[in-house]
Amino acid sequence: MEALEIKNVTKKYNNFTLDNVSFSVPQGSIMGLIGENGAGKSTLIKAVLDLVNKDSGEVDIYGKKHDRKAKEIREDVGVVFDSLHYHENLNPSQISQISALTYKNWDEKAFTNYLSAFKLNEKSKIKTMSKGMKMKLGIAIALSHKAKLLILDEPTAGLDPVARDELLDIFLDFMQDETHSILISSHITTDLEKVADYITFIHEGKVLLSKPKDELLYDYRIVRCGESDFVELKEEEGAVWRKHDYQYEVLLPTGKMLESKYTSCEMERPTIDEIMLMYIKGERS
Amino acid sequence: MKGLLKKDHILLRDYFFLFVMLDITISVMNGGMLLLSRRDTCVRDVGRLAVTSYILVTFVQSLINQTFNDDEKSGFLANVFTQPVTRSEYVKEKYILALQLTGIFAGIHTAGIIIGLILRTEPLTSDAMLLLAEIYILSLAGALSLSFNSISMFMKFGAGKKGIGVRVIVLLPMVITYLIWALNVTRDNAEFHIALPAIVTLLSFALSLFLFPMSFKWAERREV
Repeated sequence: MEALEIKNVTKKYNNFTLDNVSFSVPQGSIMGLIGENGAGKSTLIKAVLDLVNKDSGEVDIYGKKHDRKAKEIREDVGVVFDSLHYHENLNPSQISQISALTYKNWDEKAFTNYLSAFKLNEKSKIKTMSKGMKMKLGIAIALSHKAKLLILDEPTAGLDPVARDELLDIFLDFMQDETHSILISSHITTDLEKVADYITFIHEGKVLLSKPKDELLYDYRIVRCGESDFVELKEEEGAVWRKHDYQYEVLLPTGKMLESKYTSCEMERPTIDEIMLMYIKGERS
Repeated sequence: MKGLLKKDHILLRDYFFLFVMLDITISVMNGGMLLLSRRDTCVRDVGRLAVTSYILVTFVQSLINQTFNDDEKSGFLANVFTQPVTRSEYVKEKYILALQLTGIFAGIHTAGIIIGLILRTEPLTSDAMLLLAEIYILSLAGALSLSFNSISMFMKFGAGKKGIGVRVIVLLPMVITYLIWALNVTRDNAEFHIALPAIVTLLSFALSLFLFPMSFKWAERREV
């Protein structure tokens, strides 16, 4: 079953179009949404959450159509933005009181436990918290109403490596329940390499690829070669290349299968960062 | 919706107590004025209540505006629409809050007036009673219409500069009218003097009734 299914979502602005985006997040998996700044990740998340008016397309969450009237579905969805969208004068205890009146499944005990685990004082006002503490509070809120699907928009942006690592552990912990799923957008691809099962790469409002992470990391190859090899390599299926001063860099989606064909070339497994960079900066036939 | 009310109650607590204290002070002054006014000057004294009633109008509107500014600037507006809360419920909550605040401030206001009237040794003249009733109804209608109009304007234009500008434009005729009235600028034309605030307030009230259903539609279309 798909936890989240995005079908042909289009949103047009004057200078940007989120163009016919489709992909799905299988139940029990983490989908990493990557792309450079301005690629459309946040717009897509807003479209998924119905915060903006879509020009076309549909979003299904656990098989049910999600629109502005579908408040029941939102009981199952926890959302964490890149900053904590609560008033700075509130404290966690007050947020708990408010959330208890908002969510049917609000679990005050679980919330208190998360606060203790994250070393957050329930009486400290949000404005006194660091960025990392605010993100942890946002996640504690999302987890305490028993959400099954987490939608996270750049949750690790601006955090130091220790705080980022702690957050990733929290996400992995959440995924211990097989019915849980996460859609996480980030331009810190190393984070996604650690936790994501699938990667969707969005560029200039379009989905360039949506694949299992392992396929990207184990099947793709990056080749650095001279002119003579390049002529042959660029004809391979899906090849993307960049010309440097003295060599070519070629990304081959089917690289693993081609290793035996190009024995003279040194093939390496690319990182997600390198794949992203090649698709953004590279040329294709 | 209960959660939203709780949130606004918590966040408005400090401002609210300050305004309640001011309202109590005004209420005591009103009661004292009614208690001490002489029979031959009571109409003029009651007329002075117009100024304090105007303060009631601004209390409610400023508190409602405060919640909008907080919601938009903190990003809560985007957050709340990801929660199991419909946009209609968000708008309804603001109207309920406006009614609650108007009820509380008007209640305190009324208490001062009633105590003043009860303790008076001689009754007010019928002219003064009529004027008192008119002031009271107009300030209630004014408070409700301005806060309701603020809600509609926020749904359409947001809490930014554009939204503030539009809200000031809606508020301005009421402010000018109340000032004209309170300063007795039109006292030479008695009928006009009484009719002007009534007409402006009723027009504002009619506008708020017209905008009421629109505010729900605008909320549905609003992008956050």
